[in-house]
Amino acid sequence: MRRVDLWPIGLLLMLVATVSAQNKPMLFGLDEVPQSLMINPGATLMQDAHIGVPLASGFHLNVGSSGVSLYDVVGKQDGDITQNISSVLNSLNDRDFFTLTQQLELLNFGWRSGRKRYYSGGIYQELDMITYFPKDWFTLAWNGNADYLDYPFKFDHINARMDALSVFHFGVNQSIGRHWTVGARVKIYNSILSVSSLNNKGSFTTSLSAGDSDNYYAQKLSRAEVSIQTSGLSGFDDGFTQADLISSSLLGGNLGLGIDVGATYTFDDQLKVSASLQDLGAIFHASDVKTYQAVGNKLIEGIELDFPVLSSGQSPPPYYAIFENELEAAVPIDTLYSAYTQWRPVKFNAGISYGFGPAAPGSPACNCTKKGKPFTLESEVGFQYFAIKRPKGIQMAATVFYLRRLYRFLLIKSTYTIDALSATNIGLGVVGDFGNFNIYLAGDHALKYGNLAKARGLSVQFGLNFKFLEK
Amino acid sequence: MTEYGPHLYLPIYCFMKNFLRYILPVLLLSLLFSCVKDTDFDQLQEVVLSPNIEVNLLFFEINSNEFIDPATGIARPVLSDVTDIPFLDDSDTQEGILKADFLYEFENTTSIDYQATISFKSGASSVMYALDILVPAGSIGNPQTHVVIDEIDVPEIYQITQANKIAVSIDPMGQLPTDGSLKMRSKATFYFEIDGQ
Repeated sequence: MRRVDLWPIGLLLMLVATVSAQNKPMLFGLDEVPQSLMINPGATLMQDAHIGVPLASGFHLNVGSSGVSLYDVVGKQDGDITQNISSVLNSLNDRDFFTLTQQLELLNFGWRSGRKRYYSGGIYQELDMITYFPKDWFTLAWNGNADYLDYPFKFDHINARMDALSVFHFGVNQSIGRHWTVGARVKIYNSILSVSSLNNKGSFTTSLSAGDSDNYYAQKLSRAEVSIQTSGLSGFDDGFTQADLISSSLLGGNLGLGIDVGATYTFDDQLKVSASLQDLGAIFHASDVKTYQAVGNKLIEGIELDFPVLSSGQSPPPYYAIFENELEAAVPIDTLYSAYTQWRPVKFNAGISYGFGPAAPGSPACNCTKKGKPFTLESEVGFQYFAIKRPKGIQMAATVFYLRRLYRFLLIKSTYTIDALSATNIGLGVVGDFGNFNIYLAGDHALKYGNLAKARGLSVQFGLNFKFLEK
Repeated sequence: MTEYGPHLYLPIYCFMKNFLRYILPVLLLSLLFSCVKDTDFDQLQEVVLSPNIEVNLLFFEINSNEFIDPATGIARPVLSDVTDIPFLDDSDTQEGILKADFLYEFENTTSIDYQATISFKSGASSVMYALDILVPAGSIGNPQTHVVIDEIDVPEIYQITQANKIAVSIDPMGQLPTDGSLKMRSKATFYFEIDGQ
């Protein structure tokens, strides 16, 4: 009966929920779910084999915005919408970002080989986008340059990246001695589409000219370097058919190589620490590559009139065309077809967890059997850290969690996460084990579920797998 | 193979009972309330961007000797020139522009006055809007600076935005100068109001 009494807490937690872009604090260290291996190849495992339900073994969706919610922009608020948006925009800076990450496993499987080794592999598809807020250019469009004399509008405020890829992976997980479990996973990335504008440089400034200058303003494009790199774009030119998608998903795109590594150190039945690195690798964009690039310096002058002597029928010089040509010559927009390499956004996870209470329901009474369900304690608390390398620096998240194995077939994990998106992010995950059938469902920002418009982030994950244990 | 074996149904029954009693209602409730609300996307149509854009316009320097045609040696009564400006009669400009301020700054180091005429034209001949400026005489030692600000509001702005050329003519008033020059530089401020409709 005691367990049932816990339900009010469960309900409360359900109303709340966690995660930062690509962060999956629910799955990290959650040994009951085979997908925890995807985050830490050196995770301790609870099964002897697993196979995911194809297309349903792992789904992850995360959207986030570091500085603004939908409600801030189009909420029913007092006052003038233009004023409201204006004040929102003023509160954002060029390090604020919007992200969207979606992953779908097509296939996931694994099996134990011998007592201490576990192999796993599969295919998943990923869409990952991050756009930083182009503050200066938004300001220029919103206000113009009249009130911004001498202010450099900086091109590095334009920073965005989008990748659609499929990933083929195979990993091995090995326990060493009583304490260590280590693992590694090799990944072949197959980029379907990649578009990015990174490392832009230079600025545009309008200043009053000196008194003896020919022009009233000095409008300077200083050391401008702006580029957009694309690969796989031409496939979308004349309609992208399902056949195209399938062929480009199956190693038909630009390939890359990466690894995940991870380890867990189990001190005793209660305490363990673990850490992992994901996506240490790069994609080599070589085919169907197009880079649009504008580089140059230019003082943009007005149009100079020459008052030439014209005989009848003669036209004056094409001043405006000359002006345009000079601008294009000074800052040419080139299309390049050279290959480029792009690093994957590397992710780091680390955690410490402490188990307590009686043996979990369904667990053996002690850590003394070699087969069957491993020994687990009823409750766990812990701390997790997540970091991801993004174009403008490392984004981090810190999570504390409480995990409770309520029944032999049901556990809940609740998390509280602080990251760039929010400091009030509570998440809840539920894992069910029904015979061999394993299901997990997790969500975050549940405090905002009453009105998603007010949330700055949202993350959901679920998956269906079959797990097998040797008796 | 399975851990639960013949007892499989007990936990499923237990789970289903709890699922129906607790989890399902909460899931449904949260789905019901997990909506995007208190938002009004129609408001976006009322958003008004009002950028004010500053740009250089025209500039020139006419030296005193340019008033004589070098080929014939005969004085040119009026100097004139014209340039395309394809951005004013653009439909986006026409719809979005509210007003425009033009600033013309002359520096005269010659000994005579000039009648300068700035004409906004549509095509070669239709003058949509014209401004006459009398530029006073100066000298090399004492340059005469003359600034004219022409604020163009409704309804003249509608004439300006029909124009795709600016013509400038310089009419020397009196005996042609022997030294010095007439310089001009100019800028425009365009006040836009762009709504979301």
